Amino acid sequence: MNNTTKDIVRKVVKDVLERFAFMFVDEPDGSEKADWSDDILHAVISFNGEFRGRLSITAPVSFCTEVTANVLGIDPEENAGEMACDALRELINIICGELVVALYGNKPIFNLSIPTLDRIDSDRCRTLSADPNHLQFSADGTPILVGLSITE
Amino acid sequence: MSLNILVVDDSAVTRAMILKSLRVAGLPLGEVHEAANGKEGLEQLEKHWLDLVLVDINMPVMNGEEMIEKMRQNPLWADIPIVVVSTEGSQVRIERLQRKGAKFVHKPFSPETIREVIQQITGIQLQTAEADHGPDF
Repeated sequence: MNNTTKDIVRKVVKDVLERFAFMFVDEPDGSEKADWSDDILHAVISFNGEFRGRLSITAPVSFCTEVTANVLGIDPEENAGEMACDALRELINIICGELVVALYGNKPIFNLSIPTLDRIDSDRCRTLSADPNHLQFSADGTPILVGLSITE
Repeated sequence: MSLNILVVDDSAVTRAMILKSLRVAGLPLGEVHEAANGKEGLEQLEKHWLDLVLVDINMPVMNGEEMIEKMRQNPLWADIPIVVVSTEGSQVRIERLQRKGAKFVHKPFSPETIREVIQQITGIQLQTAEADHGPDF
């Protein structure tokens, strides 16, 4: 991911999380180590058109629960686990839709895949956070990772 | 007058958000039906008399574009107002849907956007102060 692409990803992620989930997003400086001890979800969506690519979001279940509570205006205690998973799938779908327009404009047609979801452990999170194609954010104090790989 | 509506989206969270927005927008809701993909949406159309369909594009089994195509080919459903609620960003695809008579709402959306589009497509007048200050969904 080059610097221009990173800036676009930063802008889209912050914008969507603020508008969709009413969350304040910033980027921790490199010295801060994220706490990945929570139950962690890893969502992946791919896009296919003039260019092909793969976007991922890695986040604790607690983040997904907060997104669900915020978008539906309900208490986080009311969220079932499946609702939190569903919210992460919808979040990555919206971010990917906005991202392909921000990267390539609104003329080309891209087909987005149905997002997939897995649970991963904290070791895998630390590996991903060291990967140069991943950006780390803090959403209302909760760490999330956003990864993007593009096949030109 | 109340409207019988069908919301078609593979995300239960999004279906709940859309229904909440419709209520905030002051839409007089009659029967509310939900489906998780285009195929299930067509099955709901066969079972119920509907006044308005809100449909996503990117769904498993049958996507929203195929569902709209099949609706427009069936004389019973051809004139039902359709609102596409989607992350779709391609102007080419959006215009293709608009040529089939569908209105388009981009995700994330606000209750007032939904209200304006439904007013345009159904011709009904909705009045609520809350929707004017509602959040994006």
